[in-house]
Amino acid sequence: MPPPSKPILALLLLGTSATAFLAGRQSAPDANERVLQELASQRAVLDTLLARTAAPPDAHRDVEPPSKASSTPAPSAPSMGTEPSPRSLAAVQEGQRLIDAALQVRRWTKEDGQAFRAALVDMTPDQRGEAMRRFFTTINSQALDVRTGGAPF
Amino acid sequence: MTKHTAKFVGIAISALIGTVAWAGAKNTNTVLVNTVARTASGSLGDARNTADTQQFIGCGITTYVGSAPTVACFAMDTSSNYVGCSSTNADLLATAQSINGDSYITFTWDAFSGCTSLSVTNASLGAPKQP
Repeated sequence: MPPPSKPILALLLLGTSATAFLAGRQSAPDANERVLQELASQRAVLDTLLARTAAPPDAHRDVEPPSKASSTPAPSAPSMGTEPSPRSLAAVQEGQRLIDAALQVRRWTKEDGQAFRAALVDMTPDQRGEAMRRFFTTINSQALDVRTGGAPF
Repeated sequence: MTKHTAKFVGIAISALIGTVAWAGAKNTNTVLVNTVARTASGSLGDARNTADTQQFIGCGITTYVGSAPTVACFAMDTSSNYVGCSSTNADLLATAQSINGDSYITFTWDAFSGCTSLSVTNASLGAPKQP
């Protein structure tokens, strides 16, 4: 039997290489998914930062009527206009951690909502507004599969 | 036709006429979400009464001690598009307080997910929520 000709050998080699390449691509981990998640997370952070720098100081925040603003808040709650307490800062970090963790798995559960609600309680009004803004911006980007079956938190 | 038969026919006809006269205009408004236009709308009754277990729409109000109440509106359509917004605007809060089980609501939000409008319609055309 005569050996195969050079063109046929070249074609065989090319075909084998192409098949191996395609098989390798199929089995490779999907890096796009991780990139999309990171992009969604970064976009949420960017939106929050834009809101801080571009929006007027009292955008989305009502200037309270004088009677409400001058009322004495409950002793255990963080008061408006004061320095954030360590407790409120921890609550802000917890809120951010919950959102970041949800973005990693692209899912927001009832338990996440309950934990987020608990964190919101300890935040100052400004911190709460920022946390909700970041949360809803993330939700509205459709980066999360919301499984609360109703209110998000 | 005997007298008794005529009486029963007359009663039957009157009952049927009464039934027809009680019909009125009805609307069906399932949940619609437009993430580009940043709007969501739907009837609470129709959302609950549909056969699917996906769609819902509503607003919640939470008061944190020491700060203004926060209204948060949310909606999910049959394609699982979930949207929401929040605000401490006193006018939006007052509007949210008018929502009941027969309401048809529409809300919009801006690029920062702050609620920019809330419309509540309570009319006879809306379906009531069923168990």
